[in-house]
Amino acid sequence: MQNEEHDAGSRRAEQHKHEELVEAATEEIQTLRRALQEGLCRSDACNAGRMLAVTRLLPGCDEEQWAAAAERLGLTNWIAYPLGSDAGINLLKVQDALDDLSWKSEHDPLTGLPNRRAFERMLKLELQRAERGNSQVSVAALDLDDFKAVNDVYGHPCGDEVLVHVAHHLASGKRAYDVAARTGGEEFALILPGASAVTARLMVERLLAALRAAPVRCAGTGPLHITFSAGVAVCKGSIPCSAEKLMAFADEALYEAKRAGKNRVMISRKSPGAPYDRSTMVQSQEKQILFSGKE
Amino acid sequence: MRKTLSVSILSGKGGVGKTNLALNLAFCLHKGGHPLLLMDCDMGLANLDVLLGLAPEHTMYDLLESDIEPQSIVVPIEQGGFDFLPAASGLTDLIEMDNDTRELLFHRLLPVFDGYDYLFMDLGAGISPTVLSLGAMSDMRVVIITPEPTSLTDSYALIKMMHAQHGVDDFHVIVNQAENPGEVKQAFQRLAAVCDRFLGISPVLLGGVSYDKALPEAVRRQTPLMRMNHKSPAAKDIFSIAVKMQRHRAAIVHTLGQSPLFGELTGKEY
Repeated sequence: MQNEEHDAGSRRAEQHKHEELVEAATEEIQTLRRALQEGLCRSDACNAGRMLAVTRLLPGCDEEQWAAAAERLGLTNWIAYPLGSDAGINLLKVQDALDDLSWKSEHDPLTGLPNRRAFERMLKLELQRAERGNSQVSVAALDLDDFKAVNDVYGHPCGDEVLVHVAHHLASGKRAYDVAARTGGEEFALILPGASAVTARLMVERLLAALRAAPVRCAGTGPLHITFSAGVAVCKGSIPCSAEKLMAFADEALYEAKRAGKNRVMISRKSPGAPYDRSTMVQSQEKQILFSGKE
Repeated sequence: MRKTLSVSILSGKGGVGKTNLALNLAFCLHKGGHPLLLMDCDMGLANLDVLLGLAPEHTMYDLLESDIEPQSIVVPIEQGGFDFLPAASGLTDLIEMDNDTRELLFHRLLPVFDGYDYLFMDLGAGISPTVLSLGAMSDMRVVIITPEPTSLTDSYALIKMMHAQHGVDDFHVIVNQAENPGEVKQAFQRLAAVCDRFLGISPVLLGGVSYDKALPEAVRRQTPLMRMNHKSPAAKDIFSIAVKMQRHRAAIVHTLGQSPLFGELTGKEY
């Protein structure tokens, strides 16, 4: 009886794994579908008679599982072709190598976080989504405080441990749909969809407080207290803004945070959706005339 | 075919008598022989129906939700083309209409707008995006102020935002609840001076309306002041403002499009 329950449990876990696999593939397929709609391939006279099948292997999935998932995910017009283990094994190696390469090209090997390139791609996507949905996106640029001293005093292996430690804190402290990336040596960045500048600052301050409360212990050292400085910039959907500009504003705010004494979070006042756009504010000179009639 | 002048009635601050003035000006213009549609655009906290003692069964909200004929929500107030378009109270989704919802609403309403000389839009107080864009859409904007500094500041903020965000530079002003003509002059001059100095625009004074005890009484009786007591001081002031609006329409009628607000509607299919 116990064994049967155990079997059922592991079958459910197996099923869950398949679904995750299919959903990851689905996201890629959706991206591909959009690219096709936007004219990835031209079907003009030159291309007449040509045809390309783009294949994605789903190891461990069978036709039944795909049919159920495709129904649920709206992918019923995609062709699923079963491969026996003999035919599949070589293709699978190729797919694995591709997966590995593609993972490496978008991730930082030390911390496992997305790298700058992936971050920029995801930010652009998120900004497009915000413009469509008329919502807002905040970004935060983070830089570890006095990191050079850690490397100099405790050595690079300890420095690496600190980076992994911070990455772990960011990845586990962010919301599921936020993005945490390592964008440079001791630089990290966050994409916070839907967050206003004020919300974003509170979120980053919480991450900073959690990090402060959890010192790192490298082999043979006492507890190391790590902090970072951060700059936040926000883009409101209705106002178009570029990823580059938004990051530049966040970086400026980051340097202000450094200048103001580190270990803190600052909001950029320049970002297009800053909480205080002063262009339409009634200024004190204007009020003077309204109240007294005199300048 | 009649051409319709769309007029938005605005105020930065609430409680300055905006809705009441809209109703009584509309009443006057209708008495002057102009078919007029009074549209409650205070989505969310509609009051015009209350001032008229009406409890309409349908509101504009129904146009968004069902295929109901737009004509069927129009409520006649007086014989001969003085009609009313009611809005809903207590609905938060309409306070902040997105562009698509606004376009759909006006697209559905277009057939109703035919045949009126005036379309009066009583907008909610404040500077919400809906207020700013409806105000910018209309042919004429009437800003209601009182001599109080709070009202002056809020109405200036409204003008400044509409100017900055929508490039609007023509505004008409009515000074309500004035104790004497001096107050009207002073309040308007202050507002005009700031507009001129900082925005480079010159609002036009339509006139002042005296503080009048008859007005709150008309509100309690749920009837327009012009109907209850057209000889009261405020009623006389409102009458002369209506005459000015009539002249304004005559002066610009040749510039009006076939449909009010038509320039803003994209002609999308719904």
